Amino acid sequence: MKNNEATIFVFIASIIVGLLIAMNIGFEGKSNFLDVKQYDEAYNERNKLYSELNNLKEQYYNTYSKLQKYDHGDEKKYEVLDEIQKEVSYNNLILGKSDVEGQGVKITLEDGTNNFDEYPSIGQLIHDFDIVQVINDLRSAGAEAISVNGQRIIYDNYGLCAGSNIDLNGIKIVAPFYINAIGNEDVLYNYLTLEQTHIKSLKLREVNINVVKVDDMKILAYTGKFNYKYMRLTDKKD
Amino acid sequence: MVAFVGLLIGVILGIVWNVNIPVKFSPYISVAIFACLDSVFGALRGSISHNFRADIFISGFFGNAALAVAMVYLGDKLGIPIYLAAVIVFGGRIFDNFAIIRRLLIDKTKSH
Repeated sequence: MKNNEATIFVFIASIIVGLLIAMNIGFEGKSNFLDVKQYDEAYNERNKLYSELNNLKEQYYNTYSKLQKYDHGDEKKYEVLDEIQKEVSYNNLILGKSDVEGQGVKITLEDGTNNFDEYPSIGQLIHDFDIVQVINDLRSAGAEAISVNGQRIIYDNYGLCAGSNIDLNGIKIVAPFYINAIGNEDVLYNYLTLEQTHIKSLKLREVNINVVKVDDMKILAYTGKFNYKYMRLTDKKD
Repeated sequence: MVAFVGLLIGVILGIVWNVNIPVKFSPYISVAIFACLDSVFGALRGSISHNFRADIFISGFFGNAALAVAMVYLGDKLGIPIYLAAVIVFGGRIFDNFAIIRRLLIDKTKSH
């Protein structure tokens, strides 16, 4: 009798346990537990998402506070105007539409002279691409503002050879060329004199070339027009 | 033998009904299964050694499972894996019971 009872109970209990196991495992190929690698990956993923979330929150906060400043413009109109003015002048600074000053280097380029020959050889002449190359060197050394013979160099400038003179962005300039660049004067100077730059090859071509550091110089703003016909702002969709 | 048949029936029933426990409760059920298994082994041992008591079995079956689940919950809240204690204790007892069942069965077959 007792044994029989035990059998029945064990039978029922086993059924319950089996049911629980079946329910827990699911038998649908999806495991509820992760192995170490999966856990690691999931953990990393979570961390990444968290940091992303923090970044987005910060961005949101910044934008929101900016918007707040604009929204309360009725009371603080001048502040808003100030803010906008600051942004405009900052953009102008980047674009090259404002006069700037600071430390930098002055480069003087002149066609080489030959005492024995009446005409300088073609290698001693300074060509349009030399100017372009020097500008490129300066930009790669981190120059922030560049002018050639007083002409501010901006993003869409080009150089063309036009015979005896050089057509720089539509304006004719002749030798000698004075190239001014604002940036870290030591970096610019060292880069131009030590690195393998176009200045070096110009020196080899016996062009008269002179690079000096200047503590404070002024570069005038770009006075030309910004022409664009085909590009327009894309619609920002968030 | 009865236990295996019961387990099989239970598993088949579970598959047929296809009830899935939410992932959240999965660790609780796992420990509860362990506790129940321990009780089943204890009952088997009792039935073989003829000292099975239904009241003790039933109270153990549900009491152990409930206690184990409570432990998992508490451990989860406290941040300590207390359920390990349950797993170790139940695991050890299952092996103990199995050892005793083994001995009893072997003795039985030898005495025949």
